[in-house]
Amino acid sequence: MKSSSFEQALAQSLQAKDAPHALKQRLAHIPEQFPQVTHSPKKSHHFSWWIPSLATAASLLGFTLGFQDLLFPNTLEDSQIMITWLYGSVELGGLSL
Amino acid sequence: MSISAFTQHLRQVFSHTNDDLVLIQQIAQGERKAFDQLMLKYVDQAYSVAYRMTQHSEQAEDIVQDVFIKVWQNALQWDASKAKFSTWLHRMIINRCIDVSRARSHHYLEACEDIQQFANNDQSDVLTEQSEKQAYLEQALQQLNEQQYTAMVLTYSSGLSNKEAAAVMDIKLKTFESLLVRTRQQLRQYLSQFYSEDL
Repeated sequence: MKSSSFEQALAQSLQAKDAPHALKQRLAHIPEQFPQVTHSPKKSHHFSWWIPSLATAASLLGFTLGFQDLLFPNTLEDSQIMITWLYGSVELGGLSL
Repeated sequence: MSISAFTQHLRQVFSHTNDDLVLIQQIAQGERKAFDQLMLKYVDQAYSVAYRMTQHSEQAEDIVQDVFIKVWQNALQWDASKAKFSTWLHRMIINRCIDVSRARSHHYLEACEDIQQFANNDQSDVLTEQSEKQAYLEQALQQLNEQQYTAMVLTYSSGLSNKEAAAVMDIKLKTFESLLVRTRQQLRQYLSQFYSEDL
C-alpha cells in the first residue's frame, strides 16, 4: 500500500458521517423537554456601599435615641422600640453582605 | 498570505467566534431559535466524532443528545475567553465517549459495526482488494491506544484544524503533531505484515 493510498484508506475509514435526521429531530425537542438550569444572578456590587452606611447610620440613630431608654427603660414600649431598632440594623447589615 | 487575506481570515475567525458567543448568550436566555441554529451548525461534526469514537450509531446519538442537553441547560459554562465553542463541544463529546467506552470496559472498536460488516463479507468471499485493505486498516486502528485513536478521529472525522484538535485533547500543537506521525507509523508497521509494497 503506497503512501497516498494509505492516506486515502485512512480518510475513508474515518470519514465524517452526517447525523441522522431522526437525531436532529430529537435534539430540536430538547428545549421543551429539559428546563434550563436557572442561575441566581450575580450580586451587583455597584453602589452597595450605601447599604452598610445606611445600616450604620440607622444603628447610631437608634442607639442615640434609645440609649437612655435602654439603660433606664421606663416602659415596656421603650424597650420594644430599642429592640426593633437593633433588629432593623442587623437586618440591613445582613442585606449588605 | 497577503495582509488583506490575513485580515479577511481574522475577520472570519472572529465572526464565527462572535456568532457562537451571541447564540450562547441567547440560549442562556432560553431562546429556542438560537439553540436550533447552534445545534444545526455543529450536530454533524459532533455526531461524526461520537460515531467514530464509539463505532456504534445508537451510543453516538445518545452521547450527542446528552451533550446538547448540557449546552441547553448550562450554556454559560462555556468560557469564551478560554476556548472556542467548537473546542468546548468536542471536548465534551470526546470525554463522554471515553466515559462510555470505559464503562463498557472493553475496547472502543469491539462492537464495531463496520468490522462486523467486513467480517461478514470475508466469510462470503466477496471481498474486493480495496475492501480487504480497508478491513486490515480497521484492524490496525483497533490496535491504537485511546489517545492515538482520538487524535486520528479528530483529524479525519471532525474537520478541525490540528491546532483546535490539540486544544480539544488539551495538549500542545507540537505534541499533537508528533502523536499523529507516530500513529501513522504504527499503522503502517501493522499493515506491512499484510503488504510487501512500500508503505
